[in-house]
Amino acid sequence: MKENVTPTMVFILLLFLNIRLLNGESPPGKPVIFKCRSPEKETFTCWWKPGTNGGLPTNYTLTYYKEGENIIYECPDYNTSGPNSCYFNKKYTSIWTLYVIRVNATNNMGSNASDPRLVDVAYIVEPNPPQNITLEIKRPENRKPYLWIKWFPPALVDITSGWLILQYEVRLRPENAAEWEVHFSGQQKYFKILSLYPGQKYFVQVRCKPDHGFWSKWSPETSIDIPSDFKMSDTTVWIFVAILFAVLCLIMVWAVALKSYSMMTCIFPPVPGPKIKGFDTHLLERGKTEELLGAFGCQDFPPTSDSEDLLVEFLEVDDSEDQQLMPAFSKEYPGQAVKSQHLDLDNDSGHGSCDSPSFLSEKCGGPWANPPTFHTPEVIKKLESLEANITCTWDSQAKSTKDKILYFHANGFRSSTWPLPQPTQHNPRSPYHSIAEVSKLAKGPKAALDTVIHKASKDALQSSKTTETGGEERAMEQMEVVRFPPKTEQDTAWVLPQENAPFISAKPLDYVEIHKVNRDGALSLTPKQKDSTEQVEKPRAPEIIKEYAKVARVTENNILVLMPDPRGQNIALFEESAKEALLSLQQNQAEKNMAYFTVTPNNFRLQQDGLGYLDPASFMSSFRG
Amino acid sequence: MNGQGKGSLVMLLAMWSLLLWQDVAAQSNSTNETGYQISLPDLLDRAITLSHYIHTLSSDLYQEVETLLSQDTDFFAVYTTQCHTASISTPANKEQALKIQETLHSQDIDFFAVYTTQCHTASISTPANKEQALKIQVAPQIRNYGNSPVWTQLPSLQSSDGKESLNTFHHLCRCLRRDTHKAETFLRVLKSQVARHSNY
Repeated sequence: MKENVTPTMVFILLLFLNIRLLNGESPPGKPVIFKCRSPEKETFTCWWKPGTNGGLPTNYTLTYYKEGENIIYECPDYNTSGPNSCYFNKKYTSIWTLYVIRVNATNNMGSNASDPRLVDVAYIVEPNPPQNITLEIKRPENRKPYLWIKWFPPALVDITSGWLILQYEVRLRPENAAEWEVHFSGQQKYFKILSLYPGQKYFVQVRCKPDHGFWSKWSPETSIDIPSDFKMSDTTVWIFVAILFAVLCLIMVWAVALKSYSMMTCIFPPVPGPKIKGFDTHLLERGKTEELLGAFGCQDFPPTSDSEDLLVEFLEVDDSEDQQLMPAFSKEYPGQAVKSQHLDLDNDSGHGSCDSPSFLSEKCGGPWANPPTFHTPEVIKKLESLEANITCTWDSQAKSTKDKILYFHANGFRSSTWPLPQPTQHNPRSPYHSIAEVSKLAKGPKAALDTVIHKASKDALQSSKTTETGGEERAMEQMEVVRFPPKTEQDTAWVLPQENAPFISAKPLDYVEIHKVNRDGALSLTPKQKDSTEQVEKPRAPEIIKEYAKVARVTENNILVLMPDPRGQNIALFEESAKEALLSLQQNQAEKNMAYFTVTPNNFRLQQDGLGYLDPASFMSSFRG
Repeated sequence: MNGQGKGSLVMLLAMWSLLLWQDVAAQSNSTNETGYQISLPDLLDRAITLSHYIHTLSSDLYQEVETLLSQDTDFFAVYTTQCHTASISTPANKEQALKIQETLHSQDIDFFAVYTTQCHTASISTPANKEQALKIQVAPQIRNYGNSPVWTQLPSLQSSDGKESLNTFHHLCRCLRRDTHKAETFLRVLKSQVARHSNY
C-alpha cells in the first residue's frame, strides 16, 4: 500500500500544478531590452519589451552594474520615458563606461530575467530632429531666385561647447511627387535649392546625426508654395535660340535646293569614266571586230580567214586578284562550254586559261584520268569547281571548232592538275609528271586524249600569258608547253614529258615559225624542225624538244625572244621550295635562259611587258608593216 | 585580422602626426615666444581631424572584431577587465570635460591622446615584435609626465593559447575604440574653449 501512496501523491501534486497551469498562470516570459538611446550624450534611456506575463500581475525591475564596480544598482527612474523604460539622468550617467543592464520580470509564479545588454553611452547617441525649420524664397537681383531653408539644432544638444558635432540632411519633394530629393548639408544649418518647379507646393524635412552616432528622425513637414514666376529667364533665351536656329536651317535648305546641282558637283565631283578618243563603245557592243578595229584605223587585222583547223588556244592572264578569278570562272564555266572573250583592249588583263596543248592535255587528262587522284591537300577545296570547269572545257574541245578559243581557267587548270602527279612526287606541279601519271592511269579515254593531243600538237601555240595570281599559277603557266608530235604514239608522247622533266634545259636555239595570229592576237607557233619526232623517240634529246614557254620580248631585228620552259629547271625548284620561291626563280631563270627565235614568215615585233602579255597593238603594227 | 593591418598602419601614421603636433603644441602655448606660424586653433583643427579619422578606423576595426569574434570570446575577459589606460584620470561626463582646462593641464589631454594611440597601436600591430611593444616611443614631454601606465598584456596577446590571445585582442580593440573617442571629444571641447577664450 505504501508503494501505491507515493505515486498517488505525485499524481495529485501534478494535478494541482496542472490545474493551476490550466488557469493560465505561469511565470512571466523573458523580457527583452530592445533599445537604449541617449539624445545628447549626457543622459540615456533604455526600453524593454515584456514577455508574456503568465496571467498574473508582473513586476519589472531593471538592474545594472558598471564596469569596474561590483555594486548592482537599480533603475533610478521608471516613469520619465514612459512605460517599460528606464531613464538615467545626468547624475547616473557616466560616459565611456560600460553598463551591464538586465530586466527582471517577476510574478507570483516566478521570475524571469532578460539577457544582459551592454551599453556605452558614447555610442548610442541619437539626437532629436532639428527644430524651427524656415523656408523662404529669395530673389537676389540679377541672379536666379532660390529656396532658402534654415533650421536649428535640437534643443538638448550642446553644440557650442563642442561636446557634440552634428551633421544635417535636407529632403524635399513637390506635392504630387512620391520621391524625395535628398541633400546632405554637412554641419551648416541652412541650404539653398535652385531647381524648382514653379507654381507647385513643396514639402521639406530635415534630420541630423552626430559624427559617431545615429540619425535622428525626420522633422515634421514644412511646406511652401513656389510662385509661378519662379524663373523663366533661361527658358526664354533658349526659345529664342531655337527659333533662330530653325530659321537658319530653313534658309540653308532653301539655298541648297536652289543650287543643289552645282553644290553636289562641287562636293562630289563626278568620277570620269574611261574614254578612248575616237572610240565608239557601241561598236564594241555589237561585237564586230572589223568595224571596231576600223575605228582604230586598222586594216585586215586580224586575218579573217581563221584557222579552219586551227584551234587557237592561249592562256589569258588575268591581272586581277586570284580570288576574283576563281569565283568568276566558277560561275562561267558550268554554263559555257566555250567562252569567247575579247581581249580587253583597254587593259592587259585577260582571263587565265590554258592555252598550250600541254596544258590542255594535262587538264583533260587530269580529270578524266583519275578524279580520285585529286586529293592534293592544297587544292582539295578547288577540286569540285575545277573539275566542273575542266569538264566543260573538255566538252568544248571535243567539238573541235575552228575558231573557238578555249579558255581554260588558269587557276582551275592548275589546281586540277596539281594534284595529279601526287603521290609519287614532291612537287606536284609539273604538268609533265602529271601527264605521265595520267597516261599510266588513264587507259580509258585515250581516244579523247589522242584527239586533244592531236589538236594540241597542231597548234603549237605559244602565247602563253602568265597570270599573276601566284607563284603556283605562274609556275604552271611557265611550265612549258610541250609540243606533242602529232604522230607519235601516245605512250611515247606520254613518255616524253617524263624524260623531259628532269632535264635541265640546255636548249639549243631554234627558230619558230609563226603559224598564225588569231583574232585576239594569240600567236600560233610551229617549230621549224619536223624531225623532232624521231628525236623524241630517243630517250635523250632533251635539247631537241622545243619547249616554248612564252614570248619574253622582241628584239630590234624582229626577233622573237621566247622564254624556254624552265620546267626542267623548275622541277628541282618545285621540289624544294614554296610557290613564291618558285615564282622568283622562274622569272630569274626565264630571264637568263632566253631562247632567241627568229620568226620567219612574219617578222614582227612583239612587245611584251613584264607580265608576259602580248600587246596586240604591236601585232597590228608589225602586220601592217 | 585584415582590419588589424589596415587600422594599425593608419594609426601609426596618425600617431606620429599627433606626436609632431603635440610637440609643436606644447611649445606653442606661448605663441608669441616661439614664433611658430601655426596658431593653436589651427593645430587643434588638425588634431581633431586626425583623431576623428583614427576613431573611425578603430570603430570599424571593432565592428569587424565584434562580428567575427563575439561568439568565441569570454564576456568577462573582454568587458569587465579594465583598460590599461584607466589609470589616467579623464573626464567621465560633460561637466568634467568642460572643466578640462581648469582641472587638468592641457598637456594631459595631449598626453592622453598620444599615449592612447601609441599603446594601442603598438599592441595591436606587433604580435611579432615584442621589443617595440615594450619600448614605447614616448615623446619627451610625455615621458616627463607622472605615472605612465604600464601595459602588461603583451604576453597574453602573444600566448599560444588561441582563446586567450583572442580575448586579449578583442579587449584591446574595445579599449582602443573608446580611448580614441575620448581623445576626439576632448580635443573638440578644447578647441571650442580655446576659440571662446581667444574671442574674449
